[in-house]
Amino acid sequence: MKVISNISVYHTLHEDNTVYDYASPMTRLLCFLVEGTIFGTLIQLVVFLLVVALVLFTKKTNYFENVTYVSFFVYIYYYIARPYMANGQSFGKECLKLKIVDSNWDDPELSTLLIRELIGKPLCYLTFGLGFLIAFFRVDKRCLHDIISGTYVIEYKK
Amino acid sequence: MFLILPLGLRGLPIRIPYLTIFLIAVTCYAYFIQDNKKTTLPENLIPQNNFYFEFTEIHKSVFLSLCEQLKIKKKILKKSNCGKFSAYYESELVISKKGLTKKEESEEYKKVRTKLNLSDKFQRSYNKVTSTYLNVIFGKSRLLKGDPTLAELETEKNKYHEKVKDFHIKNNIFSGLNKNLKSSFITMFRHGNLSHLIGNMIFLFFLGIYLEGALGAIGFLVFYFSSGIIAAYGWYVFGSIPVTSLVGASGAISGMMGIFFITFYKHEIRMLATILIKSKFFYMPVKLSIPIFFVAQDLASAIFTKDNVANSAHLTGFVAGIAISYLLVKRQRYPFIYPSEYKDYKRLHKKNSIEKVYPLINNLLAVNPNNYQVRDHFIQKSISDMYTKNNISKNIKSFLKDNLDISLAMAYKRHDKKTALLILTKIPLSMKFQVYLRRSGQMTILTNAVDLLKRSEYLTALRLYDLFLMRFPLSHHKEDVEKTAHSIIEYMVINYTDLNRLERYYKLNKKSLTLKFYKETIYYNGNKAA
Repeated sequence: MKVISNISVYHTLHEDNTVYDYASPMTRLLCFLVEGTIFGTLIQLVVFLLVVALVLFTKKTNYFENVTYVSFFVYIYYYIARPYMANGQSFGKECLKLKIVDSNWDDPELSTLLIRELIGKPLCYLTFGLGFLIAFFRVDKRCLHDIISGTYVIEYKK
Repeated sequence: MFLILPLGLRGLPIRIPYLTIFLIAVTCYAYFIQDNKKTTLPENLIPQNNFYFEFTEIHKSVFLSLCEQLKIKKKILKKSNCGKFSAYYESELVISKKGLTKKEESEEYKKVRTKLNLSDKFQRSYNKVTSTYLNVIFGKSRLLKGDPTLAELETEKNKYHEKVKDFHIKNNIFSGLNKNLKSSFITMFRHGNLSHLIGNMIFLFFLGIYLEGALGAIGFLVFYFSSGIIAAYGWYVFGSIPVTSLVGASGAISGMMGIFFITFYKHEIRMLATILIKSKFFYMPVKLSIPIFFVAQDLASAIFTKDNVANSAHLTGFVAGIAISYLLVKRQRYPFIYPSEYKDYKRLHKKNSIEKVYPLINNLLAVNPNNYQVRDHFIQKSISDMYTKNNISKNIKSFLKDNLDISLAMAYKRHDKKTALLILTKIPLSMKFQVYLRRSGQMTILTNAVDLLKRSEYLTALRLYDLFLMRFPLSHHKEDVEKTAHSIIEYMVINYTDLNRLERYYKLNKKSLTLKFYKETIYYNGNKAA
């Protein structure tokens, strides 16, 4: 409750007319592809510019080493720092109205996002993509990295 | 499979672009009917071995550094071996043209090896070396011998270039050797493949829908051709290779894209992403989507890949388009797009009553529904009309019914509280909110109500809460909104603020859901006072 010019206002200004549901695996695949096509080239350019800057400052000319360092930091920003700052939404998820939430359907904490991206996803790739395919057969539509970190991906529908 | 398609700008109606359709027809005619094979070099001008073609482009210093790198990497490339490599390479070129069977070829190679005193192991090491390495080795061997090879090659190159230049001038081909205004104009109607043509024309059609009206017919044509010519010269300066020719309308189209980027900077593009059966619509603002889709992709392909795409022409065309739109196009400010729109608005702005010009305003809004400035201005004017005349005509009624909730929603979207609250406070009590605000959402109503409370406009806030309770009986906020409405009524009754208007409001709205509580509070406070 807030008091605004002598009147007690009980209601909040959060949008409650939306219905949340588990995001279907096909929409998640679509989101992945949209991210790749729209933001992929931009990320590629950013990585290239950062590598050039790194070479100019440190004068270490090992190109592949520099690329791995820079792309690792860009990956951390894109999938961990940005969703942590923007309520569990990377740029692609924001476009398609998807959201990462934790087991209580609240905004995810930094530790859960770290587990999800740095432990869960590599495990998914190690299983030759089987970790992603699990989502098609589960009721709650979670992948392996979601199960490990205890997160859900939801989409909101009006 | 997977597709991302731009479907158009949000909220703007689609106009049929007659001029762009004509332009597309002309380019298609030029592609199909006119002889498009003129751009390809005839057989007598194509160089015999690819090496020569590539070597002419390598600078001497680059070439020498490459040789040094190879010496470090591969032990095979000792100084003594280089000459043999080159001789073997030349003989291979001769043998491959004879058209022999495999057995005969191997025998011939053996003869060459015995001539040059080479072992059979040499063949293996030779196969390992890639064609680009071979080119370098061949060049280096000549240099080591001390021949005046580079000078020789340059004279050969100049002779060859003159021949090609004559061919280019004959057929009006824009290339690194031949730059003309005429040829740069003609390149816009020539395309490499059918896919190249279709891709360009789809983009031109999409841009024409929106830009034709904004620039006018003459402006559209002038800017299209001028940006195309500038793009061609940009390609000549930044990315041309002498023998290759420039083909396609993409430079001009990217120029139009630059103009589109500036004129529709604050609009949003509606996109469709599909995979198999699943599809989703989403919106991306123009200020983000065009730099990401267009400029970043061109830059990335210019840096990382070596296609035969003229990225430099695209980028210079885009920059030229932006420059043109800043310098030459008389741009309208954001909610206005078309030049005629602004003139009409100025003309109608002076008139006192809007009753007679009502259809003109409707036409104005039909052309550009995103124009909030026109809508808000005429809503305010019609409300003030009602105060002066005490009579609402049918035209004004229908105008308000159509536009009031849209203007509120747009104001909410662009975080413009001032105009929304100004309109809401001016609406007289006789106008029922449930009639005029039929389409506004929960959040627009609640945020506007809170903003009104901050300015201590209690009655209009109460009217909005009343509307909310009528319109959304199943909302999660229902109980909380009821409580706040009750607290407003209590405050107004106890402190005697606007009581007369409150009474009048409930007389006019006998179906309102807070009427019962109002009567109770009046009864209770009246008794208390007695």
